[in-house]
Amino acid sequence: MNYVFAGYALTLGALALYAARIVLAERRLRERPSEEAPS
Amino acid sequence: MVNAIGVLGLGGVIGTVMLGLGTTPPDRVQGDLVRLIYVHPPLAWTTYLAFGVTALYGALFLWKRRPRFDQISAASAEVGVVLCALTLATGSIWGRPTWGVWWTWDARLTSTALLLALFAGYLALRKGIVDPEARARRSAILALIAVADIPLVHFSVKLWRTLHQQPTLLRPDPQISGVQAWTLLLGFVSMTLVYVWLTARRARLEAAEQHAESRYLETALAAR
Repeated sequence: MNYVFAGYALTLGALALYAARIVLAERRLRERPSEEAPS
Repeated sequence: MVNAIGVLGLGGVIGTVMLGLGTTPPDRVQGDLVRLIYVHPPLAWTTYLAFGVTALYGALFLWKRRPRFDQISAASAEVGVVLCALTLATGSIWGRPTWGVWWTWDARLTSTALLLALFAGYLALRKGIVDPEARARRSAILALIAVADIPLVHFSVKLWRTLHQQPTLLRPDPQISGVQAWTLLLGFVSMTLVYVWLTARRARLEAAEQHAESRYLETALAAR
């Protein structure tokens, strides 16, 4: 079962991290002053 | 609407994990490793979908020249790269105990790795072009070329003699039934919803980034 758990954990973990990255980037962009250079 | 899709997708993924790890029985030949089937093929399907949408919206951009189409195309490509990398990783995790190796230069694996490289190249191309119009046009052309690899990936198990197994579901006599088939179906539906949610949010972020980029340029030019 170790391989199975690894597959599920990798998939769920990666998707959760990617979703968090999108949401945080959106929030950061909203809070940034307009004249600041985009990163 | 987008948030409702996200909640449904999350619920579906939780259901797939519970059924996949708990309710469904082990396979007579593969044992517990069969449980990876509820994750790996849905990831592969959403990879096809993501890159198909990238090419479709790329073509729409070339036709109508609307920035919104380019934003959706770019968002779908990025989500597709994540899904494609996970397809390869979960396939590798299944391959190690089944075939005895993490990787082999099998036609299905190699064509999928090529697909990942092509769309990673698409993202790199976008990073390298400052002019939004040229960036959208050139990346749309690349997407239309790269998407031709999808039929090659899908039919590779028919075209060549490969280690990868033949289709389980898309055949006249499906090799799966009962709770296993329903769990796989739930996996496909929920991963599709997750893809739609991620792409919608990423497209919104892409639009905001492009807007911020143009405002910054305007401010910088006005200050000169």
